[in-house]
Parts: sequence; structure tokens; C-alpha cells
Amino acid sequence: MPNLRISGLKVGYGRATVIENLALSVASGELVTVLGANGAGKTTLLNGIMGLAPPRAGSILMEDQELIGLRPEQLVALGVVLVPERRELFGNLTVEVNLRLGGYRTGAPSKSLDRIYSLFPILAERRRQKAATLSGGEQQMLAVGRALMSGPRLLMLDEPSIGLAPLIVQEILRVIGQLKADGLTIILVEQNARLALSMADRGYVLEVGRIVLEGPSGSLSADPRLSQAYLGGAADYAAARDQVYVD
Amino acid sequence: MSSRNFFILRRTPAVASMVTAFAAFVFAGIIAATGPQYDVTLLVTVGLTSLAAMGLTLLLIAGQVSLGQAAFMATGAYVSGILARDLGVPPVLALMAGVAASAGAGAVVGAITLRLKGHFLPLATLAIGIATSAAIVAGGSVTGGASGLGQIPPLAIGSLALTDDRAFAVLVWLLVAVFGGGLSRLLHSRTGRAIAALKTDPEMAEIFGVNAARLRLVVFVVAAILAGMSGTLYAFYFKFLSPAPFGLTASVNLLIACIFGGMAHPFGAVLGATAIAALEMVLQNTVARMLGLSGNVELIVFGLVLICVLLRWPGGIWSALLRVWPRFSVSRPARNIELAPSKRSTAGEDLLSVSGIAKNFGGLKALQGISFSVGTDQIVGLIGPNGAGKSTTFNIATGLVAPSEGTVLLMGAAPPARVSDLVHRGVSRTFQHVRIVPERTVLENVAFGAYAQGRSGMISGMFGFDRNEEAATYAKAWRALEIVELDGLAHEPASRLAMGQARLVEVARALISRPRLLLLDEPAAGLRTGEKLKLVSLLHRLKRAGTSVLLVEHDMDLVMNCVDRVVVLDRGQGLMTGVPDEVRRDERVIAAYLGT
Amino acid sequence: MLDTLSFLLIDGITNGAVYGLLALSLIVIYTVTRVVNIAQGEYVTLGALSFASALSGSFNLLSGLVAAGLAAFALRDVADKHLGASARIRVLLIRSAWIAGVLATAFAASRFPGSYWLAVLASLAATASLGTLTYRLTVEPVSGASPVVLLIVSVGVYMVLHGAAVLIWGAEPRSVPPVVEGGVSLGPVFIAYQSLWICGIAVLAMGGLYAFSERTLMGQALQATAVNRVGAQLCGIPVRLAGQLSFAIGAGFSALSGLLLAPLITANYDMGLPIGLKGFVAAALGGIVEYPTALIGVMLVGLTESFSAFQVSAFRDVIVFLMVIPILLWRNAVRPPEAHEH
Repeated sequence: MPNLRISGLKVGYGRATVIENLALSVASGELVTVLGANGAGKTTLLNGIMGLAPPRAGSILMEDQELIGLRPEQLVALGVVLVPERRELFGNLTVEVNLRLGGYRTGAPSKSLDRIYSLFPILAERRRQKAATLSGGEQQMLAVGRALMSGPRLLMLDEPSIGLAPLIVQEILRVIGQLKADGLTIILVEQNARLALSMADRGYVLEVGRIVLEGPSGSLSADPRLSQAYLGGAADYAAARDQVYVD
Repeated sequence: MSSRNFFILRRTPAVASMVTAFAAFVFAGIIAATGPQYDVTLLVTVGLTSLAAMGLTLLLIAGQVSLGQAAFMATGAYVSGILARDLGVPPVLALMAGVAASAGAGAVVGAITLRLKGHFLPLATLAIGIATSAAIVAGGSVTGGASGLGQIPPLAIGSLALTDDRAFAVLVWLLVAVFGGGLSRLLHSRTGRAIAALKTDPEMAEIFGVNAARLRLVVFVVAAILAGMSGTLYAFYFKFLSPAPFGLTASVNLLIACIFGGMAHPFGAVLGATAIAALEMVLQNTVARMLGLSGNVELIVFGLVLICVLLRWPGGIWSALLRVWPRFSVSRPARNIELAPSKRSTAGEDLLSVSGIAKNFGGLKALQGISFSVGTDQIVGLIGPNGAGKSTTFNIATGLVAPSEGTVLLMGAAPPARVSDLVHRGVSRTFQHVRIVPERTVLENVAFGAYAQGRSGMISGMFGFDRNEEAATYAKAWRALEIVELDGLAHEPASRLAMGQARLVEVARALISRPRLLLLDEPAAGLRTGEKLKLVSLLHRLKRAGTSVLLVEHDMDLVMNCVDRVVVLDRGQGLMTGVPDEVRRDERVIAAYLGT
Repeated sequence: MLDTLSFLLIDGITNGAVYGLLALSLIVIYTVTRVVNIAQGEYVTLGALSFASALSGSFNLLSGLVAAGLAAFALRDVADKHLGASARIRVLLIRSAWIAGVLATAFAASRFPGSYWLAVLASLAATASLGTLTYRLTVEPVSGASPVVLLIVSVGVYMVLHGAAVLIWGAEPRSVPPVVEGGVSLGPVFIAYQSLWICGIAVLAMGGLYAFSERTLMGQALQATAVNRVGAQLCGIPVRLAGQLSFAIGAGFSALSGLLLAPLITANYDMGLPIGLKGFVAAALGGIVEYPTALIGVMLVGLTESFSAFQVSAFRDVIVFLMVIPILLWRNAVRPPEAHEH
């Protein structure tokens, strides 16, 4: 039974539509990655699921419950949690308070706090420091840790490796791998396609608000259309270059 | 032919504004001529509120909020009142002196407070407003204090005195009509486009040559002048001044008139002032006289109406009328126009040269040792994965951000100190996160790009002396839209555009400033394949016409197919520089992009 | 000379304490909801007047109105189709207890006229609840609107509350007895007990708010919502509830300042606006986002006010209000407010 089933989804901001008629499903315990170039609509998809950019059409079913129309706090209560690209931490509050707030709904028991500290020992060291004073990598760990505090059933990660040094990326991927091994359902949006596909069960490739490619990670990695979608190349630019305009 | 063209006049906002202004004037004239004295006084009051509120609307359109506008009314009123009454200055001169004093006060207050950001400006103006009315109370020996200043002489030119209230009402509404019509026209002029851009994004406005600080000050002074005019006329109509009508309540009432009527349009202010007066009159008649309830019920009902209207229409009453108001449009010109750079570069010259730049943010090294150059008739690509430092490099190249080390030369000289001078250097750009004015049409957004080449200012914009220049600007704007093949959407509000279209509108806007060097920040993000093809052929065409391009882009294939040279960044450092074929084959580049 | 000085000092500090409560109200509401609340002073009036009427033994009409409003919203909340059965019962219970609390305190206060603490409770319960109602009626439906629209809506709220205060209690000022009559003489200086009382309660209330926002998860959630709304939503913090809470705190604190001040200046329908404005000045000094700076601000305002009243009485308000400008300029240069969010 699929954990999450999205169909006919349409999301946009203001009067502009960013993604349209999108279908995607994630089975329970699966790690699914969503790939695509900048501007393809990956972040909008996650914001749409999270209710931050309310969908205009379609359906998002999680175990037969419709998620569209729910407010973010209701989604968090159902176990749907997003780690946004911009992290959205509370900069002038301490690391520990940031984490506790992640567990707002459950009253932030110290048991879950201890679990986060064991996942990210550096956060335990920094617990009294303000979030704004952390390095980029530590902030990303804090963002992931804060999301885990609520006890998610579906974790969505938006470009967790962005702008981070390779060692830190390894550290974060290690944790994502561990979460997957623990049976958590995960949607991972990544710019580092090979890295994401090496961890994911399946992948989707978005191009300008539409899914152009999907399949198991292995076959996606081998598909030449992947690098096309990422790096461009589907178009016949040579012809465009030589096209002569009649003014 | 649509039914619209049955009208002899084309339905444009300018025509609609003129018709509305004229209609309001005629309507006011009829009331002034035939109504009872009570109505005439009400008419004058509404007219005076409208005048001051229109100025405030202009401020709001420019993205500034003032909670102390009545202070400028007070300045005009008291300066002209005291001059005419105590110093024997002829009333007309006193009137002018009052308006001039308000303008001066506006300039001083503006110069001090306009650098304040966010909610600090309304707080500061609030304080100034309250302090002003407190100062009037305190300065009793000059201002008459709380008990007021009476026996102000009537407005007169020589021996011809304007003692007739009805004539006065006509004068006031003539001014309302002239300024209402003028400000409405201004909205769609060169300055109006700059004011709208200022609200959306001051940094973007500066890229196209707007001196944001100066324009902000000009708008503030214009608002102060309108408030001052309203104040001086108040003094000469009522011939009695006291601090009460110029206090916080007055400032708040002006703001209520603007917001209630609709802050998007100067007529919203007139509509708001009129609606409020009408509402008060109705309430007085029904609640007080017919139902015999106290004045507090009136206040409560007024508050409730205010809340309910704004909950229903956060854009004010005007937004409910927008459906019948004509949308701004300019028809496509017959003649053809070429959009080549204003100055042809000499061959071999470096338009942009960056050498050894580094940038530290805090302790973080964002960039290190980057060098490259863009020569004449060249397209150079700047690529690298997210977080590689492309945007920082880009901002340093345009002088928006100063490098910690290294030098940047734009057309052989250091980047100009003021961003607004960049466009005069022949540089234009687009933005990674689309920055267009959402409520304006696509055509107007593009037309704004020609700001630096225009000269017409506020007065010509208000009274239509800018016709030729505007015609030329829109001819260019149409041409630019044709080039990006979006001319079909010319009259759509920019907020309706899809991301790809909005990016192309930005390109068109940059084009009509006729740059020698065009900087494009991820122009292909969000573009469909067809649009990408269009972009590539456009870039080649620009190059042939003599425009050089620096292209920051993710789509490698697109970059490889149109650039002469590629600069690859990775994690703040230059990975390599070369011709497309070298770069395409480089293992390091592929690794940086797809990951290892 | 020394006794004049001490007198002015005490006067200034007392005023500062009152403005401090106002400034905190404004800040907590602004940071959480972005409403520059022009109506803030009216809660001062309502607090003082409902306190005065409760003391005199009449049933507080405001409590009745507020209870009715709460009941209307309770019906809507219980009917929310997204609620599960157990959540529905919980919502019903919480709302019922809340309404009962508002009514019970008002009823008890009317049964025991002159009972100081009952009157305080009744007044605070009614005004704080009124704050939440104001939020739900006038802010929540337009929470995405521009700050200037929110500001004008708050002007509408000001009109309604101002008119309602006169309608319920009339325009006659009501004298209110101090908690404890008299005062102490410290050498040549006489300090009214009420002044001490005001300062004491104000400090307690501010301390309580501080402890609440630093020590409790709910208080931290309120801070979080103020710092980063999206982040708060992603944590599952119900931002609407945070908005209601901020309005409850704001209204309650303002009412508290009103009922503390009432014995010194009588409770009257016009007392709110000037106090609200001074609170604004004090809050503005902290950029209306920072508590500690605002507290220095309130003392500055209180002291400037009482000293300039003595020295150059006519220009007192001019000085107090113009003081804002250089401080805003300084703050703007040191720590500018973030550009307004889209």
C-alpha cells in the first residue's frame, strides 16, 4: 500500500502556475529522489505537499487521507515534515530550543532530544549556542534534527547538500541512510544527482513543472536522458544558432 | 471591432482619468452652485482631504507609509495663516509661502527619515506628526496655542477677494480634478514606472538608472506639497486655525481615506475621502437623528464598516471598481526600430575584466582568486554547481558587492560608485530571482528598461508633455517584446506570467536600455525547450548586433552552444577557463556537476 | 531641590512602568502578527473601566459580550471537519472552561463588591479574551494583507472599542480607590503606595512574561513565530494560535496597566490613547522588536516626560516624541529592520 500518492497536482504562486498535472507516489519505507535543473519546480512540489503553497488542483493522499487543505501544523501532526532549502531556523534561539521547538507537538521529550544528539554529536556540543552562529553544515544538521524531533513518518529534504563541503555532505548522507534503514519514508530533492540516486530506491526527474523521467535508481543513472534534463542538451541548439531572422 | 470602439474616445486610463476628473469637478460644481451651505462646507472639507490624501497615495505607491502627513497640512496652514494675519502679507503670497514651507518641511523631514527602513518610517513620521501638533499647542504666543488663531483674512488677489464659499468650493475641486487627473496620468509615465519599480525592488530600479534616494525624496516632497496646499486652503476657507484638525487623528484619517478608497490609484484617495464623508453623513442622519442613539454608536458603526470593507477588499473600494476601469495599453507602432547598443565598442577592448578577486563573508571564503574577462562581441559563460559562487561573482562584476581582494574593470574603469550609473556605462542585467513589477503590464515592465534614456520628469508625466518620448519608448518596448516573442502578452499583468516568460520579459527590459554588456543571471531556469531555443538564437543575434554577454547558467548544453568561452567555478574557486569543447570533455567539470 | 528631584524620579519611574507594559504589549503583537496596533490604548481603557465597574459590584457587561463572542467561535471550531472525535471533545471542553472562566470571574466579582483581586481577575479575563477575539475577527481573515492595511483595520478596531467603552460605561470618569491608601515618607520624599504597587506589579508581570517566553515550550514557540513564521509552521506550531496568544498577552498587559493606573488618574474612556502613544514611543526606541531596549526606552520616556514637564512643561510632548527620531536613525544604522516580507 503506497504511503503517499499524488495525482493531478497543480501548484503555483500568485497567478503563475509552476507545476501542473503532476503524479508521484512513494511507498512506505521508500527513499524517493526528485531531480531536475534549477527552476524545474522541485521546491514548489515540496511546498505544495507541505501546504506552504496551497495546491490549486489534484490530490495528495497519504494512507487514504487527503492532505490538500490541511494547514502545515496539521500535516506535521500527521507526520509529514519538511526540511526546507533555506533551513528556516530560529537564528537568535539556541540549538537546543530550536530542537525542542521541532518537537512542539509532542512536548519535546528529552528522549527524542537525546536521539538527535546521538545522530549529530556536534549539536550536543553546540546546544547552548545560538543557531545563527553555527556553520552552514551544522545549521543543516540542526534543520534535519529539528525536523526529526516531531517524529515524522514522511520526511522531505530539500537540497540538504547545497553549498556544503564534501565531508559535511557525507555526514548528512550517512544520517539519511540511517533513517532509511530505520524504515522512515523519505523524499529527497537533490542537485547532486549521482549521490541522490546512489541512495534512493526510485527517482523522478522534473523539467519545467512536469515529470519527464521516472524509474528505479539503477536504470535512471544509466539513462542518457538524465544528464540531458540536468545539463540541458535535449534541444537542437545548433539550428537555433544559425537561424536567420527576417526583420 | 469590439464594442469598446463604439466610443469616440479610446478607453485608456489617461482618458478615463480625464473623464473622471472632469465629472468629479462638474458634480462638485453642481453641489457648490445649488446645495445648502452645510453641503458646501462638506464639499470643501472632502476636497481638501482628497488633495492631501492623493499625495499620501503617491507615497504609498512608492512603498512609503507616512503616519504624520497632517504635520505638512499644519505647516502650510499656520505659515500662510500667520503671514496673512499678523504680518500683513498679501493672501496669495501667503498661500504660496505656505505651500513652499510645506515643501521645505517635506524636504527636511524626508532627507532625515527616508533612509529609515521597513516599519521605522511610519514610526518616525508618527512621532513627527504628534510632535508638530504638540508644538503648535506649546508655541501659543505665535500659533495661538490650543485656543486657536482667528480672523485670518480671506484669499484675495489685489482687491478681488474670494469671500464666496461656493466659489471657494469650485476652486478646491478644480485643484482636486487637476491633480487627480495629473497624478493618475503620472502613474503610467516614465516617472510613474520608476515609482512602481521603487516599491517592488529599489535595487532593481537602480540597475535601470533610477536614483532611488532622490526619487523617494521627490515623491515625499510632492506629497508634502499637496498636504500643504490642502492646509493653506483650509486656513483661508475657515479663517480659523487650531491644532485639533492637524493632529494624529487627521493623519490617520488621511491614511484611512487612502486605504479605504484604494491605495493603488490617486482617485482611490478621492473615492475614500468622499465615501467616508458620505458614510459619516448617513450615520449622523440615521443613527443620531432617526434612531436617537449617541455619537458613540456612530463611531462603532463607522469602525465596523471600515473593518468589514477592508476584510472584503484589502485593496480598498477602488479594487472593486477595477473591472470597469480600462487597463493600460499602448498600440503597436507601425514603424520598425532597431535595438542596437547606443555605443559600438571598439574591437579588442575588454568590456569587463575581473582579476584575482576574492570575497570573504565573515570568516567564510566565498570566492578566491577568480579572473576572467569579456571582450567585444563575445558571449562568456560562467558556470558551476549551486553554491559555487556564481552569484557573488556576478554581483562583484556589477559593483553591487565590493570584492575583498582583486580588481574589477567595467569598460576600462572601476565600477561606478552608484548602482544607478551602471546603465549609463552601457551595462544591463537580469536577475536570478525574477524581479518584475507584478501589477503592471508586461509592456510597461519592458518600457521601464528605457528609463535611463528618457528625460521627462514628474511635471511632464502629469500633464502629458512627454508624448513623443513615451511613443518612442513604447515603440522600443514593443520591438523588444517582439524579439523575445512575447508581444502577444504585452497587455497582460506581469503577475500572470509563467516563470520562463517572466525571465524573457527581464531580458527584453534589459535590451531596451541598449547595453553594450548584458549580464544574464540564469536566464534559462524554468524555460521550456522551445523557449531555450529562442533564447539561444536571441543571444547570437545580440552578439551580431554588437552586444557582449556574460551568461550565468546551469544548463550546460545551452551554455556550450552559444558561448565563446566558459569560466567554470566550483566551491568559490576557478576550476577552469576554456572554449566549450575543452570544458565539455573535462572530467572535473562533469564531476562537479553530476556529483561523484 | 533634592525632594523635587526625587519626586520627579519616582513619578517618571511610575509612568515608565505603565508605558513598559504597553510597550511589551505592542512588541509581542507586532513581532508575532505584524500588526502595528493603534487600538492598543483601548485595552488600557477597557481594563480600567471594567475593573472599576467590577469593584463597584456591577456585572461586567464586557465579560458577557466576550463570552458570547467566544461561544460563537467555539461552535465554529468544534464543527471543524478536519477534527477527529477525541480532538473535538477536547476543543469543546477547553472552550467551555474558558467561557465559564470569563463568566464566573465576572459573576463572582459582582457578588463580592470591593474585592480587589476578584475585580482584577474579572477584568483581565475579559480583556485578554477580547484580544483573542480581535485577532480572530480582524487579523486572521487578512493575515496576508500588507502591514498598512492591518494598521488601518486596527484603527477600525480602535473606533469600535472606543465607542463601546462609552456605550457600556458612559463618559463619566470613575474614581478608583488605590490598593492601599497612603504612602511612606523617605526623608523629605513621600512615595504613594500605589506607585510602589504599580512598579512592583509591572516588574512581576514583565518577569513572568520573560520566564514564560524563555522557559516554556509555548513561550519559545511564540518567540519562534516572531523570528521565523515559516520555520514555526514547519515545526508544527499553529501560527494562528500564536497570533491569538500574542493578542491575549498584549490586551491583558495593557489592561493591567490601565487598572494599576486608574487610582492615580481615575478610570475614564479617554485615558487609553495618550498612554498607548507613549507606549509606542517606548516600543519604537526598541524598534518594536526588542524587549530589553524597549524597557530602557520606557524609563527614558517616563523620566523625560516628568522632568521636561517640570522644566519646560509646554514642550514636554514635543521633546518626548521627537526623541524617537535620532534613536530610530541610530537603530537603522546599527541594526536595520528586515525588508518587509512578501
